[in-house]
Amino acid sequence: MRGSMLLASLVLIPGGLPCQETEEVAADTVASITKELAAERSKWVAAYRKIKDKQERSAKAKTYPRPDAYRKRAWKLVRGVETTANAGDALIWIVQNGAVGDESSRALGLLQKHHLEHEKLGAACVRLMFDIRPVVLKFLRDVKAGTSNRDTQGVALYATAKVLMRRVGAARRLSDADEKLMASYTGTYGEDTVQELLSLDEARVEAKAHELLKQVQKEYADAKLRGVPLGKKAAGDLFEIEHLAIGKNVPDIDGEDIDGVAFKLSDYEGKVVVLDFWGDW
Amino acid sequence: MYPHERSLVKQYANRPFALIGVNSDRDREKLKQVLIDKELTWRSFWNGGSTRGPISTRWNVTGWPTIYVIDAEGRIRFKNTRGEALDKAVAKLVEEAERQ
Repeated sequence: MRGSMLLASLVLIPGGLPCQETEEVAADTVASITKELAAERSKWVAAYRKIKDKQERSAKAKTYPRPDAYRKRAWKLVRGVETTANAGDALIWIVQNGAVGDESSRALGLLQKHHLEHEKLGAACVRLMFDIRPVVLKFLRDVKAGTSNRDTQGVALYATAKVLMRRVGAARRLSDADEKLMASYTGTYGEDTVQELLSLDEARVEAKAHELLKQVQKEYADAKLRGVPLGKKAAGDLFEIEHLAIGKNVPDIDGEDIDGVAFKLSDYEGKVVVLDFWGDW
Repeated sequence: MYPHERSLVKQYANRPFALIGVNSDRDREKLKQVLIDKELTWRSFWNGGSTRGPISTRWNVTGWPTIYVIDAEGRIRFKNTRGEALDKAVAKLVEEAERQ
């Protein structure tokens, strides 16, 4: 409603008004917010690359442009016009760009209420795979049940399985966490989530994740996540659960070293092995 | 991470322990120089020059570094432990291996 009122008042503005002001009101969009944040970041990267001194570098590293101020602008595109497609764009952008806690919950609530059919909703679900809060699980379930977009349904189901797996991982880490780790989890996800995770039935949740991945394989194998079919994604996760879980016998690796000499992981049987997937970057 | 890895390798030399990498760098020759420059003495599998290479794909690795700790009998015992927790895990498993 307020959207059309704003439009009407713009139309009624007398021609004599300074052009810039009208432009400013009309110009802010998710596209321009995205562009400006990207520009600020690439400027930062260019400056960072020029620094050679190690200490200076690590000081600069702490100043990487955060999206917080940009999210405030995105919220302005939502207020009063929550049901419009533009507001949907803005809400998805907010979820994808670092919203946490209450802010994230608020955005998810509005998306669930007004934007279940938004074509980019799957992209928001992808981002949520890295969250472990109960509110995220509820959101993903509501999206899966409420949208008629098959790709979104598939991604929401797949993301639900991933969140469940992350919750199990987090619960395991929390079970023998020191104070520092505990504080870091509480800071990011809130006290309630941490308490809930501490009493998580890990085996049951893991079994549920397993079941959902099989469902993805069966019903949404052809739906795509960033161009990769969900069937392939789910197969990778199922292999991880079935063969790479704590307590499993490690699958062998038959490969070659950096110099091209063939070797196997099983060559090291009888020794404790720290297997480290790494890169010099 | 390198200093921690180096100290683990040094601390457990001559004991039933090995640090094995799976490296996903792009340029093999550059990497060889890094191994020399940074004194990285442990052995790594070559993941085909990509984070989407065959080993990381099969192991469903999507974050780096990803760490598995495997006991002397070939069972996966810890995943993605870091820092002190990793030290404790290794100490426990090496003692276990030496008791047998």
